[in-house]
Amino acid sequence: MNAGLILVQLLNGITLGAIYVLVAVGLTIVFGMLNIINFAHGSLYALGAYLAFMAATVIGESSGSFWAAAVVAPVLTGIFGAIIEITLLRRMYHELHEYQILLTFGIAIVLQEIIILIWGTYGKSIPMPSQLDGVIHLGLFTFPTYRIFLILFTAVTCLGLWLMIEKTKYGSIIRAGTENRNMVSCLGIDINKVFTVIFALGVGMAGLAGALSLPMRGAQSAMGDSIMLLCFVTITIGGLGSFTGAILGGLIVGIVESMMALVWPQGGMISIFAAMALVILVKPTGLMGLK
Amino acid sequence: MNGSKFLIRDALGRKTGLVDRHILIVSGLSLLLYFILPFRTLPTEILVFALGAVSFNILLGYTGLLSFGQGAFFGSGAYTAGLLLIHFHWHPLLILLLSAFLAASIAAVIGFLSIRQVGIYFVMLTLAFNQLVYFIVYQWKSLTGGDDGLLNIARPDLSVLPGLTVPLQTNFQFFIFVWAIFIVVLVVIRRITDSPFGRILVAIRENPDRGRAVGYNIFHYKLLAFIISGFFTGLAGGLYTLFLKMVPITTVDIITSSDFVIMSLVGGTRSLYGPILGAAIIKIASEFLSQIWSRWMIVLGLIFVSFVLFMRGGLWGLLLNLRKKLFAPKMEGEGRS
Amino acid sequence: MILITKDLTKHFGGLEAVSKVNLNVEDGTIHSIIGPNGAGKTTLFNMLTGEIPVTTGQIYFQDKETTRLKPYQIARAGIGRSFQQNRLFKGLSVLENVRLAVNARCRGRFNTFKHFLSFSQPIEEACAILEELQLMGVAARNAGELSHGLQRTLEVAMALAARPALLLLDEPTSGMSPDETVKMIRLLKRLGKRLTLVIIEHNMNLVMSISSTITVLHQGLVIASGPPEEIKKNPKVHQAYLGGNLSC
Repeated sequence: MNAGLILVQLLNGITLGAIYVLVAVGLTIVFGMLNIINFAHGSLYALGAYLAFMAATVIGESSGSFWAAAVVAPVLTGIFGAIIEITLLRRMYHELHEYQILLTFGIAIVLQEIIILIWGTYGKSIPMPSQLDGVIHLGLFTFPTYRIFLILFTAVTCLGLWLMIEKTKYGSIIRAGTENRNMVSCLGIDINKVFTVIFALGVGMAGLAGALSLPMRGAQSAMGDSIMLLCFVTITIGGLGSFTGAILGGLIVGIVESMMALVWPQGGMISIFAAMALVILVKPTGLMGLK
Repeated sequence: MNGSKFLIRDALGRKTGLVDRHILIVSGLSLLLYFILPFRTLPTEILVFALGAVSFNILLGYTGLLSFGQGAFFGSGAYTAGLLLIHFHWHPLLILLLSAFLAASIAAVIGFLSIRQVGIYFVMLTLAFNQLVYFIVYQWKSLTGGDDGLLNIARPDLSVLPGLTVPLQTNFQFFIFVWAIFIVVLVVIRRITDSPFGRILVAIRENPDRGRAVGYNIFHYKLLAFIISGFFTGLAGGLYTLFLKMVPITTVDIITSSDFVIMSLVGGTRSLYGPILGAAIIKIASEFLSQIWSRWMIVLGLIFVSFVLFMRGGLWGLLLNLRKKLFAPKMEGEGRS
Repeated sequence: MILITKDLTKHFGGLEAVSKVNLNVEDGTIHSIIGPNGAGKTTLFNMLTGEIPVTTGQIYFQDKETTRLKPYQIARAGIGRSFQQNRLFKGLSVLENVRLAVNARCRGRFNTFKHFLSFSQPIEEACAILEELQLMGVAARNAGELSHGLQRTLEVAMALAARPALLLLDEPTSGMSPDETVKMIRLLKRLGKRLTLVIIEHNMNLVMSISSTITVLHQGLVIASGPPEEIKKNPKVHQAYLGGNLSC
């Protein structure tokens, strides 16, 4: 166990964390604005990965195929999310939270099966884009370029999102809509459209995470379920409804998972859940949580 | 005050004894399952899951708590029974009781931690704790067999009196055993839900803030509901072990938790018997569908989604509505749940 | 004094919603709390019943400190509360609503063995309350189906179920028609003869006609407190209501 190994694992943890952050931020945006916990979020992450696979395969062997897929997949996932919101979710906004949860849970089951139906149960993958294939030398060790890219990309995306929500006019509409739906409608803004866009955005983040994780981790039929769970833990630790909480939680979960692989491989998941239980006991609303 | 006897009946419902015609009908129909269905083990499995679903519904239908972690209790009961059967040769009823108690203890802990939150947070917590239990079971191979589970468990016979032993080996014998326990537990759960305690759970579902404001310590009641639900879910888990003669790791999986959720919703959460109906329908449909199409879960998922969207009262609610329409004038206070 | 608050204060972040409020409620009186919207009246009630934590200050009920008690403990201590927004068991019958409220202080609330209908005491007491409030006619209807005025009356019934010594009523006549308001005023007068009432109200007729003491809150501070005649003439009170006239 040397410093280099530890640093590598730390960076691996941050890489994993980056994926969790993207997914968790998507879920948090939807929860924060729409007050819905989307159980289908994990399956939409999986959908993003599989759509990216399909896009890259269709476009064929060329250096641009990954990049095209990385754009196409989130957009398609977002559109799919918008369709779900308009046709199904919108009916349930006035119902008990429990029923909204149950609806997204049902959607998750159906979506999961559809994915298997279309793409089968064998894992899929695509090769790394040639520009990012390779390693970077970081003094003590080398680290895959793609992972550095992933970390940086996530950071930029989160910053961009945050700026959009906090600093732009559209963002202020979104923020107002969370506080007081009716008021925003009274101002002549079509709140339904706003909610659809937000849902599509949140879901698109999950799709983006899926697409980006494809060259690195591949796509498996069970990936949706496992990420969903980790996402819940992330948000519980970070704080429900908190943007920074999602980022913090995602990084914590990624790093814990990665470092545990060095120390106690079987205990990775258990440690994560134990951390969650600790947070609940000490600060039930999560580390950055307000609600 | 006397003329108001009918008013009270309309407002509060009728007082029932331990066993009444509803119980008799359910007993009869569930017994009939064995003879109607073309499968020899499915009826038993239906009753076990019906028990789990009814126990789950104490939390969702009565208290308003969507617990997505019942698998933790079902599995705990199943593994406890399995381990006890492997290492000791105790009386099956004793083993079931111990399974139930262990599950109840775990429910107490998980409940204590989860109830600190409400709404969505609470749901997520129960889910996460279920997964924690799953991973512990998965990793603790020496105790639980990990991914393989516990295998080759012998099903003991039931010694009733010194010298009198009831065999439980054939499908039919075991079915009757499970059926008897099912009915007894159903009567007990029904009494609990009809008791003052049970009514307070309903109050919590309807408006917990008002419950607090009139003097109920809501936390205590929710915790007790958890423990009771965990107890009977663990009992169902123990029965499942006796049924399968093994303990697969799926008993502790989220899949089992979601089974109970789906069965209760499809059957109807606003009645005691709804989840029984749901368990029967889901199990029978799964059995038939799985033989036709490997992706039959899609159909189940679509059915579930339609129920959530359009028939939140479940099949039971549908039947009640039908009855109201057919026999419109005569409506007793039974609709009150 | 059945209820005393000492320098009761509530901060919400940077906002001081209730500032050093000293309340002295005499036993057996009807004490009204009035003030423009946002004056902190409901926040005050929420502190009295433990719904929100107190920032600083103390609350004494029947000479015992209740500052940090939780809502269910306050109810058991003998304070009943009705809310500005109805808190009813909407899916249950009116009788069941009150029976549940009564049941909270009866034996057998943890009983899981006997049918709830075998306990006649809560049912009889609930019926008595419904009779007094003239709600027996709708006893079998679901609380959610009642008209707004009847729901507000049921709100009061729920507060009464605890057999409280002190009743806190938050805008009991809000949304009521003139006829319903008259009935409520009569009810409040009747209740005032055997209980202490503290009422938040915007209906000045009601307040002036039945109160023995009126406390006026404005932006979290008590700006006046005394019998109705004094309050009517108080210039600070007139100012607080935006120069409006308090003649009724």
